[in-house]
Amino acid sequence: MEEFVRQRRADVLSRAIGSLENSSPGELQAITHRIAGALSLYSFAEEGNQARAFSGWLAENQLADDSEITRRRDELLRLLKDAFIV
Amino acid sequence: MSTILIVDDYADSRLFVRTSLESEGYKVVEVSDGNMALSFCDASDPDLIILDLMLGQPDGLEVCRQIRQKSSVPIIMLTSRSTEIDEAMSLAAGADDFLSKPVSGRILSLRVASQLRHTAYESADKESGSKHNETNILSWGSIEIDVKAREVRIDSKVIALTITEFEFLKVLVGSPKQVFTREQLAPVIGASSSFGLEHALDTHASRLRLKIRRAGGPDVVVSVRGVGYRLSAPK
Repeated sequence: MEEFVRQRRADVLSRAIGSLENSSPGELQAITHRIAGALSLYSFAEEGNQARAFSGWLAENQLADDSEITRRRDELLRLLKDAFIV
Repeated sequence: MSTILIVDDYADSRLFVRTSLESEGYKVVEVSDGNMALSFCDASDPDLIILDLMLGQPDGLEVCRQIRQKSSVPIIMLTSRSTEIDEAMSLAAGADDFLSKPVSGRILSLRVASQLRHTAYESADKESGSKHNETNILSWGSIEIDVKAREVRIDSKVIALTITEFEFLKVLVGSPKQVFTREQLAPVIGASSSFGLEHALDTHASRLRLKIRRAGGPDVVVSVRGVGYRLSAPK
């Protein structure tokens, strides 16, 4: 399984980034929840935790401004893109 | 070869679970939503289901409830949500086990094997009962537990319990005066650690009480504050 995870994790991360970039604010909660689970399964623990936290924040702040949602989404995107470098 | 149904709406998560289980020799079928899962279960009999909690509509809890109305197939909830409420709601909906992501492929496979072992014991008991026509009946008031047939009857009417609920009731009725500590009951409900144990036991006890009461039976399980559970005093 370790080899399987190692081979696939870059693709998983790439798809997660694509999903985040292409989601409307209304879709983000469900999307971030899904990618949080997948990221954590493929050994992106911190990235998975942050995606889960963002999903939880979205659930609790359904009336938040789109600008605040976008700011937090971009923060998560930066973290995921940085994970490629590491 | 056991067939495992994976229900998850994210392809990368399904692939991880599939690969983990196939490497252990299981046959795997995967679907991406709750309706497909329900259709599959109507048409086939998977040996075990791994179900994501946060599907679209119907969500994982609803799918679990609907499957449980018709089948005692072991269901493991696998989810990114890990609060005690999520776990309690999953068990209350009829799930046999609850795993939160991340989980390693090894642990996932071991949990699957553990649930399938329960089912195998159940089948072996049933088979030996039919071959030898032996009975092993425990009774308490209007409740009758046929251990060989894995049936619980109240006033001769069979009630549907999950494997875990059956084992819980069997242990209590088997020693009617004993107070069981939570630690003693942990293996009965398949809990491998004390994390969330109290809540999980409370949930199983509540469901058991409810099912028995609905069938016209007595209040059967009593919580002993700070200790665990016992059978209630006969009336």
